[in-house]
Amino acid sequence: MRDLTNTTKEGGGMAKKNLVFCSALVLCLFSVPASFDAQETKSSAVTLQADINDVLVLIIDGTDVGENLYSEDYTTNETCILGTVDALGTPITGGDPAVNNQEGDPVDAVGNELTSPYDSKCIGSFYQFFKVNDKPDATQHPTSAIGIYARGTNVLTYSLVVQAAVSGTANVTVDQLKWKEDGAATPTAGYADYTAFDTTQHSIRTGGPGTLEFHLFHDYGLLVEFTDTAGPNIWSITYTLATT
Amino acid sequence: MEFKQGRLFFLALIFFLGASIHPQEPSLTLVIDGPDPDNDYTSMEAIHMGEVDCWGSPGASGDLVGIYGKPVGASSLYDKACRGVLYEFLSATGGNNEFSHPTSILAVYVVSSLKYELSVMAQLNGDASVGLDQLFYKEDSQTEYIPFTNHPQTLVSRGTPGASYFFYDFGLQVEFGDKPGHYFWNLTYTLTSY
Repeated sequence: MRDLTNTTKEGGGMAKKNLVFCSALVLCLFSVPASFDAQETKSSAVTLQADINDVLVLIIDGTDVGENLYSEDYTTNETCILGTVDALGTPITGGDPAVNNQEGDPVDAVGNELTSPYDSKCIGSFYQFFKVNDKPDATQHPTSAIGIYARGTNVLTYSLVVQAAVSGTANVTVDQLKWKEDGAATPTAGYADYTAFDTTQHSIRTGGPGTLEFHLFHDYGLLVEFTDTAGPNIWSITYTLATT
Repeated sequence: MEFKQGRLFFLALIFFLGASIHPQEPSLTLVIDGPDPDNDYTSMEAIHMGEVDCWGSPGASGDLVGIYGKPVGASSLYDKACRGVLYEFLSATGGNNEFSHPTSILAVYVVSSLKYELSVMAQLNGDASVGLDQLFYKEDSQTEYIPFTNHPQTLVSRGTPGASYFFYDFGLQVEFGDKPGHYFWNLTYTLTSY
């Protein structure tokens, strides 16, 4: 006679084994598809090269019609026509519209204003172009003869210089043309506050390091002397911007 | 005996289920093509943007010549607020297909039998005055540029299994503070299936 108790125990053990085996199989079955769910990765690469150049811009605008920086009235080669002038300070004719009708003031040998051109100390007349300091803005320079704009990339130092030469009639010299910063005090008359152009370089501005950006406005003045020989005279003015 | 029968049953079950669930090996392809004229897709492309500057001068060399930079931060280069320029490389929309991508600088071809994610990250070699984020991208059909970063940015999430093309435009911002020199952006596109 079989021991039912033992048989039951054996049957229970068998069932446990089957259960364990079955569980193991189920785990295996789940592990199989799980292995196919693993992430896969692919990469591609781009090498992008850009060659960045430096920039150095120096442009100017004179007394001709059109004085808007944004409208590209500024160029690297400007012409200012100051028209017909004389030692008596007669109002200008035949020049750029912005300078016509400008009168000259009688001055002595050191640049002081005189009340009359008939004064024995009078050496001639000084024409001031746009002497008023009226804060020209970035786009217009109605109160300065010339606008100077410079822009550039990172620099260690920069310097702006100017030099001039004159060609024309006898006795007219380069230093009879003068300039001053528009922001300087407005002179009453005479040329004591002006700087004479020179054939050698004259420093206007230096700076750095950093990005280069400035906008300058200069007024011009022209001294016409009784000793000047009549005729056309041309000043060639060169602004040079150098960086390191 | 019962145990053996059960084991045989389960072995058969394993075979059956194993055969039924055994999937194919997932297929995954990622190739790209730049603006070079060959129109060949590879896993390693080179793009030469040529000579550029913060004044927006048109490039005279490189893969894309004659493109001007547009002022950034102001409407005019002469405005003090202007920080530099943005060169847009093939910003026009549409007209791209599997054979050519005339209005996108980069085409990306993806094949995946599973869902996938596409991402991109970048590194820059050059002077520290130039930022990694001065290079931008946008989808060809979009208008807004996104700066590249040195961490992965998701371009496509939950991509549909199958083959797909993606077309991207690039933008390069050149600023007045940038030091002149040669700069290299290394872009890594990564495709991950899941």
